[in-house]
Amino acid sequence: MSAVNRRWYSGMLSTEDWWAVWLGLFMFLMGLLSIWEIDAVGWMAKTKTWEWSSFWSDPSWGKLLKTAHGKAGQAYEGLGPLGSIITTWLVWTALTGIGAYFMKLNVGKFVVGFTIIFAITWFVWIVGHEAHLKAPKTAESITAPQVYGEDVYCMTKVHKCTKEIKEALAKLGVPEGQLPSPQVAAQAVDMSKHAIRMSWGLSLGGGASYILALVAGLIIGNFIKGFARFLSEAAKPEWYIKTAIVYLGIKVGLMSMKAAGFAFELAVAGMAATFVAYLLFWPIVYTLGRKGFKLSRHASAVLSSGISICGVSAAIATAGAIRARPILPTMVSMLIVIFAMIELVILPGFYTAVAPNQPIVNGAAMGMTVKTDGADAAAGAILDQLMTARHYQETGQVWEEGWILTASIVTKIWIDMFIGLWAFILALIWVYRVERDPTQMTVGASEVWHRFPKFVLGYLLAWFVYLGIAVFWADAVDMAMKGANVVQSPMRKMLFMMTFVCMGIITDFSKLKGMGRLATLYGIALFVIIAPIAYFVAWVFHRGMMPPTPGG
Amino acid sequence: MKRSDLDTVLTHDGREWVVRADGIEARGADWGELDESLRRALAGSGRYPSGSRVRVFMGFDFDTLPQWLRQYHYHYFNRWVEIRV
Repeated sequence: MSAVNRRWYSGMLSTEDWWAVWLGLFMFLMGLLSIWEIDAVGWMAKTKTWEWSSFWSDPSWGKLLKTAHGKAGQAYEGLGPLGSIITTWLVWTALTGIGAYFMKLNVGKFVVGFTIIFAITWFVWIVGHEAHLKAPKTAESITAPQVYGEDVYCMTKVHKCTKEIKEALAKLGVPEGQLPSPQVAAQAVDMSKHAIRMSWGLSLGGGASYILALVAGLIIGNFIKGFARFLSEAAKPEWYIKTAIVYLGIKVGLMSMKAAGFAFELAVAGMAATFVAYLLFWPIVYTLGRKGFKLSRHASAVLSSGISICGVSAAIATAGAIRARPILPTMVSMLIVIFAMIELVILPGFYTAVAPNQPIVNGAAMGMTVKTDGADAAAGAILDQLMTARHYQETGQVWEEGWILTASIVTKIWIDMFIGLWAFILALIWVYRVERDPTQMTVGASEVWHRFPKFVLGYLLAWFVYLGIAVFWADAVDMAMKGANVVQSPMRKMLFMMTFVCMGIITDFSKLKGMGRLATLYGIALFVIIAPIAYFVAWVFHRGMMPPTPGG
Repeated sequence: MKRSDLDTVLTHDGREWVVRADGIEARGADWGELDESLRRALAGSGRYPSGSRVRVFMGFDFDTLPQWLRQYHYHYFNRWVEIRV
């Protein structure tokens, strides 16, 4: 049985890309049912911020996990935290198992591998939610440390802690706007449900979980290789991240309800930046490969696309367009996957340190620099968490979570969409100008469709449906958000976390051995050419753009 | 969808491109060699009269690529050629 893409619908049931659309749209539709007061997604488990000593004084699942039912009705109240996580595992194992069956994977091995990856994911996710790693300081501790002390952290969203402390102050008779005495402030903190005192805290937000997930995956991928091979049947970072990006479409739709102008501006700036970056990256790297490293035309072209455009998918699309031997994109792809991990580890911290006041520029630059959708989304998510946490710690002002990530995803999505068109143009040039193939009749326009990233369809549909609800059906917005919030938050984050674990599992740094000139060229081009140009282009098109503030 | 006289599956065995369809097999290190090999195979099959032009669709079998790679992209290329038998 061969996997030939002959017709426009080829691959609809047998490829990860299409299955990202099906899984994405399935949960998207389940979430939409909340408009009619049907809660089809509230069984999903959610992590809670927990504190070590408090947990061990009276251990319970309820301190670590909860069901996502809260906002979508109380239909799943009875499940409890343990029932919720088991239900989450059952539903996702069943859904991905069905996908694995149609993709002709070994379903038994997939289910076992998926279960292990699921368990690792939730374990590190929960660990990353320990308060010393995750919890931000309260706004009061940042803006008035002389009154409240510098050791007051918040176990939930900071505006909730602020509200609780304000309410406590009112009960204690402190007029609004007036600073209390340190003794009264301490009482108000004690009365607040979610504010706690801790001797230290890293305030990494969700970034702590993401970093731990990567580390866990990398340990397996590089030190327990037999186990990594066993898990490889279910270690599908591209599938999970593409599904998560469909859910991100819901989040962008919800965010667009509040900041439609900014979302539109981000999309247009991302498209322009991507277009300019394409025109600069590809010819520079191709010329460097040909003249500087004496690579063949095929190797230079495939490497240029892989490093300049969007990693593995661009390398495969370009190799196909110029009809290179399949070993070439395979080798280049190994490089891309390994270097993407290096970028992912270095760049979020680097951008946060050197340009803390350019959140959207940093996000867009990340999208143009970090290759593969999974690594880009991972880097964008970590950047989002690190930058919002740092900005808050330094200013007490909260940037709405998700916009920096969206900036990195938007540029990547434009890049993904351009791949098919670019590969088509390259195919025409190669067939009719470079190789002058006398028997080739034509290059089918269907090649553009086959190379189009299908998950983008799900992302755009989710985005526009929620935007459409806001514009044309305003009465349904509140109910629509109840289901949407479950899909775009805990479900999307779980898939992000699984992506990070899986990326670590499939990244084996020892594969760099023997790559010689290709690896050297890749490293030089990436860090000396691509990263600086991408940053400059991102700065030109995104400078001055700032994430909205909640309620701002 | 374009019409072809012969639908074939195209793979690469590490050294040569290989085309197969209905008992016909052709091989070549490059496109010139492959097309010549296919011309001979078509002529030898007795299905096409001498001098006829055969429109051949070569659909690349994506399973040729390693499984870990397929999640990133699912299409390599398809090739349309006209072979004079």
